[in-house]
Amino acid sequence: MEIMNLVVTGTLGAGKSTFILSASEMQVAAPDKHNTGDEAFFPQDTTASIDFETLQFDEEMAIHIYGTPSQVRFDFMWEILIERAHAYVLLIAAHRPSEFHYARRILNFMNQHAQIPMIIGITHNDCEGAWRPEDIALALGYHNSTKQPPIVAVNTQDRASVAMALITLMEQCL
Amino acid sequence: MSISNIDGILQNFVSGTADVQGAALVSPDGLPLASTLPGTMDEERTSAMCAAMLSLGERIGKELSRGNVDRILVEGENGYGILMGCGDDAVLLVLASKSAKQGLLMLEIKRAVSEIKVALS
Amino acid sequence: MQMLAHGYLSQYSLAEIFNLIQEGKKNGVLSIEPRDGSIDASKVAQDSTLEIPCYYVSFQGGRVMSIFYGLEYENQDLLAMVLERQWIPLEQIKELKKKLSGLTIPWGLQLKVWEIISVDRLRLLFDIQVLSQLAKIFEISEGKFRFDPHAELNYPEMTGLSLSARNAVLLGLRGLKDWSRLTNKLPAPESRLQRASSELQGSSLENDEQLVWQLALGEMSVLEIAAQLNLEIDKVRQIGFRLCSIGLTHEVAVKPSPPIEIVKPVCVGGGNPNIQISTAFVSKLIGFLKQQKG
Ligand SMILES: Nc1nc2c(ncn2[C@@H]2O[C@H](COP(=O)(O)OP(=O)(O)OP(=O)(O)O)[C@@H](O)[C@H]2O)c(=O)[nH]1
Ligand SMILES: [Mg+2]
Repeated sequence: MEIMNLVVTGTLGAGKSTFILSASEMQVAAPDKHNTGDEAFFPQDTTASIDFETLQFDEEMAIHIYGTPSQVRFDFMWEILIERAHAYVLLIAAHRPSEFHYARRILNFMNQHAQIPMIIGITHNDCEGAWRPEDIALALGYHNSTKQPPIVAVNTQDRASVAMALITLMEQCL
Repeated sequence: MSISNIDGILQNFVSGTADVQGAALVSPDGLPLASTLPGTMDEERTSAMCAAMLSLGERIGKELSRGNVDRILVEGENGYGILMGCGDDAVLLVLASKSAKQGLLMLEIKRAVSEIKVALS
Repeated sequence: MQMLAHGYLSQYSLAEIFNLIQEGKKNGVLSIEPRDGSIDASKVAQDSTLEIPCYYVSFQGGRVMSIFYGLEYENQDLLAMVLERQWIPLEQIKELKKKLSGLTIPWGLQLKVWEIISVDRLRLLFDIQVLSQLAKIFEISEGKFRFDPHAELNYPEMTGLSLSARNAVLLGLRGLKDWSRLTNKLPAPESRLQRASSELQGSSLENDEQLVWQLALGEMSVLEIAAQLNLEIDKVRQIGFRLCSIGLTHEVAVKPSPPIEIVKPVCVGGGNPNIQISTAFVSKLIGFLKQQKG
């Protein structure tokens, strides 16, 4: 079995858990995972521990998707997760500009620990006060578009949109 | 490394130790190497969780100045889940029923670990 | 291990065959057909079609799972053994058989995990299947052997308990009553014993064996070791033979050589072996994701 480890990180309430769930639901014949008592391990609303789902898309191939908890006090988990990741997604809620500096911190941390393919996914684009992706890029310090990683708008509740984001990420891996 | 060899050691351990219900050997990056787990458990998921748990445990050990982590013990209503490092290349997960005597169990686990280490080297 | 496919015990000793199986972590069945005093040689000569009972030793991953003695290889059905001892009523046996068939793990292990058979009883069955037979096969001095690596695993007969081939040799030779035919193979009293490895390699040594092994540094002769440990010389020679048979020591015939430095294999990676993902994987995943876009 060939397994790729993906990390989904991002700001508070950006939609990391939702993104991971949507991705795992793409599974061809998804085994019913949600009666295994995961709820106790991985609480539903805000993620205190790690999110973890698998997506097996071939008999011999699967991705394991890990979601980081977003509160700063859990940042030691980032290191554990990023150390073994093959690629990662940074999710940012477009309607919470006050969190952008935090996103920048995550970005710096990840870049220091691993030079791996990544994309930035902008969520909550449909919400009141959402910033446009290009403005968010500037807020993250990307003043020069050649150095910036792909930035995509994503609706984490929509499987097709999550698939699009993952395709962009995989293209970075080739 | 031969997996069938490790399977034999795990089976011998599970068959020969009272109150042990299953065992699995997991790589530090969360891949199953060998396992004798109850049929209802998903090896891949369990393995990934074990590896994450062990590295988290090691962090805790370091943060709280508890030194190197010897083992991680999960005690639930229905029994125990025990994680024990097997050298640098593997982690042993043992499931035991609530009636297990911890001291004896640890002794047996240590014996199995040393056998696995030889087989892995 | 092609050369091992078949041969005579005069060419390879059982210990050597077992060691090869252990090293190769082999699966399969080793059959041993005795051709020594234990059968009537004149009868065999007269009638070449006369069938001789054989020992069949099943290995999995270089570990002994069961030993069967008979004309043809047969399963030693665990449930039949259980029924014979009236541990479980026939009705329940029938039900269990249904539940167990098709499982790809040893039946004994499953019965133990279901708490239908205790560890003690399971061990008794293993003693009957393996331990009681082991000494007998090491008594065989002459005969034919054949290793069939394609033999399938027999889950219904497996207890789940097993013994590494190395420890099987140790146990088999410990139980040996007649050492006379081996006398010229035992280490000579004036030769020295030298450790082949700095570790016990998972062998379960008895106290005396452990003591001899500790002194096997290539400096003391067998005679001196016997004197130091206050053991009979024959006993130390037998222990020396056992340790040599499982590859823990070797015999140094004449001059002492400096102890061999054992270099431990260097562990590669260690910290963060980021396993590479193949391009095929990424392409396949992209293909899969594209279907999801709908
Ligand atoms: N409108 C909108 N709502 C979203 C989107 N993504 C997630 N949500 C909602 O936002 C809320 C938070 O989503 P989660 O997936 O729990 O976010 P998270 O990043 O895991 O949150 P923490 O673990 O608390 O950091 C949920 O109510 C989601 O339904 C999106 O793209 N658009
Ligand atoms: Mg969450």
